[in-house]
Amino acid sequence: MLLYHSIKIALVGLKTNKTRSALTILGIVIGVTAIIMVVSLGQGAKDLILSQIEGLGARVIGIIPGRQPKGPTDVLATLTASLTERDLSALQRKENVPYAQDVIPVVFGSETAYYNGQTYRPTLFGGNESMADIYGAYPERGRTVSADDVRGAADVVILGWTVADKLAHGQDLLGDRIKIKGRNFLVIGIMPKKGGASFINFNESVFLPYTTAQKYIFGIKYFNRIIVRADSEANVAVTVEDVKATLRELHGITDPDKDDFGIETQADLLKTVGTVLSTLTVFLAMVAAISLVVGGVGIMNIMLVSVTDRTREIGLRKALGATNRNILTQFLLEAIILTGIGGIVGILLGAGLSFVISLVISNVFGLAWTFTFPVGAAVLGILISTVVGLIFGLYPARKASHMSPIDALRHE
Amino acid sequence: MSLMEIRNLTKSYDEGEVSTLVLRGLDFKIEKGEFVAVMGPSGSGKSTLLHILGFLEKQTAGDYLFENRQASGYSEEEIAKVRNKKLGFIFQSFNLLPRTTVLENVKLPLLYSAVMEELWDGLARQAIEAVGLSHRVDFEPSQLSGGEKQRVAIARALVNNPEVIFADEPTGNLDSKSGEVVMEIIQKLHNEMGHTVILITHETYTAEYAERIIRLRDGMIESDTKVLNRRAGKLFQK
Repeated sequence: MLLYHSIKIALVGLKTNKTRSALTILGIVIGVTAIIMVVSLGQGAKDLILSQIEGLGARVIGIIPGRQPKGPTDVLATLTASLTERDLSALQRKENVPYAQDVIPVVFGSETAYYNGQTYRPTLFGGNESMADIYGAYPERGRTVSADDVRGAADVVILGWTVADKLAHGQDLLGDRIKIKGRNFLVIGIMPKKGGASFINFNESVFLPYTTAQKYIFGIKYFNRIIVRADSEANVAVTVEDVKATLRELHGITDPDKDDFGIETQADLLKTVGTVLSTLTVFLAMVAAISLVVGGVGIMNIMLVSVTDRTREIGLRKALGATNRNILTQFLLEAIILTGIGGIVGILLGAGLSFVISLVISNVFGLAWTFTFPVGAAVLGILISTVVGLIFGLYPARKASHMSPIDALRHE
Repeated sequence: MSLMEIRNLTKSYDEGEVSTLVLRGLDFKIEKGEFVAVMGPSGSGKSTLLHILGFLEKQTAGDYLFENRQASGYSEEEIAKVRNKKLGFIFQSFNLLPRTTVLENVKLPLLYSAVMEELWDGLARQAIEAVGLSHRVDFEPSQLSGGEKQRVAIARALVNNPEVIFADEPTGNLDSKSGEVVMEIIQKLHNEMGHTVILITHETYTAEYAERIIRLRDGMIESDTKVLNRRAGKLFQK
């Protein structure tokens, strides 16, 4: 007997038991739907976050003080004071780093702010006049930090929206003074309210000249970061090398393994975040895959009932000349076709739901969310569900094939 | 050369410690083209005998030769082939596939045969015509009367043009009128197409359609006689 005929018999068998067939595949449908949704939405989230990182500027290079950590216990090595004013002025010199458009020192930390009896603990970012440009952090009202503010270590601050709101409860703070570490600071700008999806939460931050932050708030002489922006994406790699050479010369380092600073580019960050998100997606997809196994057990259950239900049919087919193999093939194919259909329905359903969700996210929340059809997950979904059918269909099919025709025909 | 020959055929069923002897050493031959009725009260072993002759069960002891070959020597595949090509079964309870048309039901044995698919439809329609149901081809079993269902089963038994047709109480679930129609069709198949027919019944009236009656009692042959006044079908006589 040809496989084609076996498939035909199996299809007829499924068609004559439509409701049961539909209920049987429900578990598989849900499992595959879950996998497709997890992978598709995971991809969407990854694309969104990566595009936001890229939005920070692909030309941005971050210099971190301290040796690069060699492991989780090595984290203290990063907390050093190796980046100083001397490094900053060396990096700012055109003959050292010719393609650097901006060089921005950054100091940051948390400190409590007071206003009129109210307190709030924002993150303080100390930078120079280019900081607003590089973070895209422009005040809604007021002005940014100027070069003069930096030079004179002026007591000026720009408040994030939440900071201003928590301290003043709707009262306008622009031009007023707030107190940090016992010192009065003039509010020269208020930031607009921003969406939460960003790396630096501008809403809960305060921006000020780095000189002010170093001298009056943190009491340090080093930087937590130095940010260098290359004049073009093509020059990022060259600039990274120039920065390294400059700092090594200045710090008297000959062995690159002994660097007391680290370099972070957007490419590194993209890679790290991308890896984390992919791992998370795979993990969630695997959790979803467990439901496929549960679906498989459901299939086996129904197939066993079906075999008992159709005992007379099995006996009849054998009396009419079906071999054990014919019967085995028939029931196995029924299981595989069922789960295969379940897989396809699951893929369509999962893709459809993901598409709807992506529409909702992009329209209601205004995020640049894109829908992706996960081809790999779809292929895998069909494959796994078919294998589940094969595995869980085998036992009932074997049971059917080993029935004696007479016992089967006598069965009531 | 006989078509079927049994020698000292014995069958017992073991259920735990209790062993029931159902057939106690039967001997007879059936020639090609014979119409034999096997009679006996319930429990006499006639169904078991038919199952053994029909390759649906194996004997416990003794010989069963089908076309001069020991049935016990057939492999599982060969048995399936014999059932498919050489034997046709008609059951008391019809055993049609539900929600499947008459045509598809009759085609069923062809699915397991070596017959080319192009011929299936023609063969099935031919068999359905032979039992006078051409007007019911697209009906499903639930839309048919009992007599019609049994005629579909006969068409199905016929479709592979088998050597032997086994009929296990074919009229048992039918009213007398439908039963007569069914028996006359079976007789016609035998008379006109030369099929060997082995009929199981407990009614003398039905058995008299056959040429020969083997009576069983308690697993033994009570008598083996020729039918002198064969009942002749009225419906299909020319």
